[in-house]
Amino acid sequence: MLSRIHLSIIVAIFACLLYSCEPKGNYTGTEYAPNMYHSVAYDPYSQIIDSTTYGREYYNSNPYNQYKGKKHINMMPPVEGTVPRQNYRSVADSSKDARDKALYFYELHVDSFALAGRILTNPVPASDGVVEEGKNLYLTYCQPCHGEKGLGDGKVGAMYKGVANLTGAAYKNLPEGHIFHVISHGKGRMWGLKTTITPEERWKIVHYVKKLQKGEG
Amino acid sequence: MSKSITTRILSFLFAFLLVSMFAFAQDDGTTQGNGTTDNTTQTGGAAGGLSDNADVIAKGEELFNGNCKQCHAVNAKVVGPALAKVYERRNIPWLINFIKYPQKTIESGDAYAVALYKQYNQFMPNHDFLKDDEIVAILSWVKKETDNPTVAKTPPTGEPGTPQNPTESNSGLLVGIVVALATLLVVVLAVLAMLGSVLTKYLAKEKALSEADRAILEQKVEWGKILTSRGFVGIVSFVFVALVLKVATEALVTIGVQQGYAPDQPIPFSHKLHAGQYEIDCKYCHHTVEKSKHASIPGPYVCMNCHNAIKTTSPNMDLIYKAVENDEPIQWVRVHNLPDLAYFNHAQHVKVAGLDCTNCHGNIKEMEVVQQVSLLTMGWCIDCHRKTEVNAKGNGYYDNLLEMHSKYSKQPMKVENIGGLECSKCHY
Repeated sequence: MLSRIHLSIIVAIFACLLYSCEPKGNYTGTEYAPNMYHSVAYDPYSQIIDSTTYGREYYNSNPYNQYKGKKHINMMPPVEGTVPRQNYRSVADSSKDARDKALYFYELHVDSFALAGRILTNPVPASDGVVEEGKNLYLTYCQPCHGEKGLGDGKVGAMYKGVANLTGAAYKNLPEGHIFHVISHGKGRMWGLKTTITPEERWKIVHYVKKLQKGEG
Repeated sequence: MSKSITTRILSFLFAFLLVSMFAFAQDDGTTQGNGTTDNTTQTGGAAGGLSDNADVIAKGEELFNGNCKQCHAVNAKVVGPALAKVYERRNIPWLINFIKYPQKTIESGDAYAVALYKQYNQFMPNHDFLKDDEIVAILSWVKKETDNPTVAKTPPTGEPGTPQNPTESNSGLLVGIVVALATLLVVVLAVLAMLGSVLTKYLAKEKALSEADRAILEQKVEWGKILTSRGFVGIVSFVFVALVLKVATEALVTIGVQQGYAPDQPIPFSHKLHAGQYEIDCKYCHHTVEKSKHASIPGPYVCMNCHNAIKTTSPNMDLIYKAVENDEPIQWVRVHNLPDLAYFNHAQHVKVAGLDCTNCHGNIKEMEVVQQVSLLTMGWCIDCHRKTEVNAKGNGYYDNLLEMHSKYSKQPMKVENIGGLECSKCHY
């Protein structure tokens, strides 16, 4: 009888121990096979820079990869002077003329809004699908400040202040190239979004913004 | 009686006529003034030329809301100065000229304009598309607002409070129901116990009872015997063993499953605030989710799009500035970690399948600290692949597959039907 009680107590303790394996807060929980979780290969967001935390085995930081004198950076910036051409090849229209025009902005100065408006034309032909895509992109990237209908009444815009009412008289008749240039580089209080939105996506947004400005959004 | 009413109406009409004539006269005055706007020597009266015609003011309000409201308020500094009594500070032609060409005015060396620029440190955009009488209409509205401001509407302030109240009263209602049920139960038990004791007392007085019945009546509950009886010990030990086994198996099964993992991050970024309260789309920050295997963790370049103007000083913002200044990545702690042996592609699931982020990541909008909500086990993946229909609409890639599938089955095409359960789909 005693041994049985002992046995059950041991089982209970074992169960409690197992229960404590559960992940919570900063604790990931017990990792049964840690080498499955910690990639030795360079995976995004998986860098382990401390060689003592998980043991030498999972330390996957490259000490030889130095960036501006700092160690432990696996992702390297492209070589100086690299031009990311792939952005421009994805332009939907196949006509060479339109594509070349779409490239122009690359040469344009940040402040050349009027020039951008004059020489840039939208290389992405408008279709229902494109405008729909533009709408989705607009709702993701522009709506927080400019609001669903472009009235400058977004929830973030209320905090940011000074957000343009895209349907206002000052903006209503702006050429597409101008809008494209503003999305790319920002204007006034707005900062540019060229790092987040590809040129093709920007042109699609321009289509939708134009639609909003005609009150058809 | 009727006579007095007619006289009242007549006098009202007369007054209306007078007022409208006056307004027209004023309108004329402004249009005459327009011709001389470029003449900067004109120093018209402080509020001269402004109209108090209701139509003009309404037009001014509309124009103000469309073109000025973003940066100006009447009684508060927004981006630019508060506009109350602006028509007293400067004369109308100066204002018209400044509103049309602010930068030019500042660069021309106008002392007041330069002082404004120094104070606010930014140019107001040109508003040369506005006609002179439109600017006058806006200023008339500003004057009207300065003199007797429209009372702020109450609904916007009440709005955030209202959605909370129903939920609160709901939970209160639930608690109330539970308490009521519990008290009812206690009352019923008490009544039953009383009934029992009354009945036994009544039966004890009864003399026509058989021996057997009397034995039952005088039976005493022996707790000690019950506690040591085989049956009781058996039940207790069964329950104990079952509980222990349940806990043990559950724990064993969840080893290596990080559901519930919610690590502290180097910067306590709140998804509840950004995605919840401000309704910023997930893709605004995790913008590679539709193009890449990974949903990128945004760098400071995304934070700064808004934080160049919103909450620019805080200890947490300093951490971002520090990262930018030192050119160092922010070492966010990875929450969802799929083992290296399984391939998962965000673009495939979000862009092609059109799945919502919350399908796997849970209600991020409510999370102050992000935690792993899903199991991320193979069973979990497979389960979804069995249930989910392929999002083939408008995607030419699936045309042939759909055709083949419809030949042999009348069921909708699920992910498992196009090889969603193949080992090599995810393990290679």
